[in-house]
Amino acid sequence: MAYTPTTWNRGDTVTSTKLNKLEQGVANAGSAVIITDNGTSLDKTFAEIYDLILNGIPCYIKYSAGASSTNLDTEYSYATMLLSVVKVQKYNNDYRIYAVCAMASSPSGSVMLGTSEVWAYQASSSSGYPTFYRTTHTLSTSIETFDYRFF
Amino acid sequence: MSYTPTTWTTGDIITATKMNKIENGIANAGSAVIVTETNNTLDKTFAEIYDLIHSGTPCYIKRIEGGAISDLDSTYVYYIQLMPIVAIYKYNDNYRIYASHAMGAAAQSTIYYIGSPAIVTYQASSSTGYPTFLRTAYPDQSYVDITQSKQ
Repeated sequence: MAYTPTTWNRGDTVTSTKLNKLEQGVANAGSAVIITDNGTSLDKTFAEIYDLILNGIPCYIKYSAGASSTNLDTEYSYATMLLSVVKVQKYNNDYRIYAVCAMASSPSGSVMLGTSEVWAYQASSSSGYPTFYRTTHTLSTSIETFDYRFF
Repeated sequence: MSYTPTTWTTGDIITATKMNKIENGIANAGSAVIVTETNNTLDKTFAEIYDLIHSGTPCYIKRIEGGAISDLDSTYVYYIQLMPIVAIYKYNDNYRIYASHAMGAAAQSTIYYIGSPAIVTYQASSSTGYPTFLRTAYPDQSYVDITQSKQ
């Protein structure tokens, strides 16, 4: 819920009610959690991420792709991604996390455009650190692009 | 604008100016808002969500489902979705909300059962109405590709 600030005036009494409102506002402010993909695994366990999502705390997976792409200049030599975690679930014996991303290379011809895709991470137990599993993306042959914003 | 914290020292006078600075710092901290779906209905009206998005406040739709799927264990019996709202507008007489999702079932006939990009749509018949689930749009499995690399 958006925070409604108290307007303080000179001479106001600093009450516990107002201070607690302030404290709660701080606790709720900008509470998104960044989960880092270090190239091997995520830095939080499946159970930790599950609990965060269950409590309605937005989580993002941060990943830097590296400096191998020749079309990136030296200053911006890393393709950095911040993927929103949209679902967590156990499927059979796999503990999975799904995040949405924009895939640049799907329409691979001359057009370097983002297409919708999903990254899946997986752990073998709830206490495990999920590792990258697979990417699902829309085929380039089935994508339409527009040079205007299509509603 | 990032917040520059005040450094307090013992004996400082708590002024209205400094208190209002804190209050406004919290109000501008960009805390995300969680909109909960229960029985296919969101717990905020279209107008409330519209105002939040319009003012730049990130909103997520939280949806919990499960318990009936036999392959989920007793601890993680629910799969949880936390879907960022990406578009909101009135279309003809329908007040619609669009959220980004990763759909597990799109590729369900494959051995992978991994997430496909999907958009979940909610709709209300008036701006004061509570939007209900309308439908999910996702690429047919023949239009998606599954890779084992981050792209």
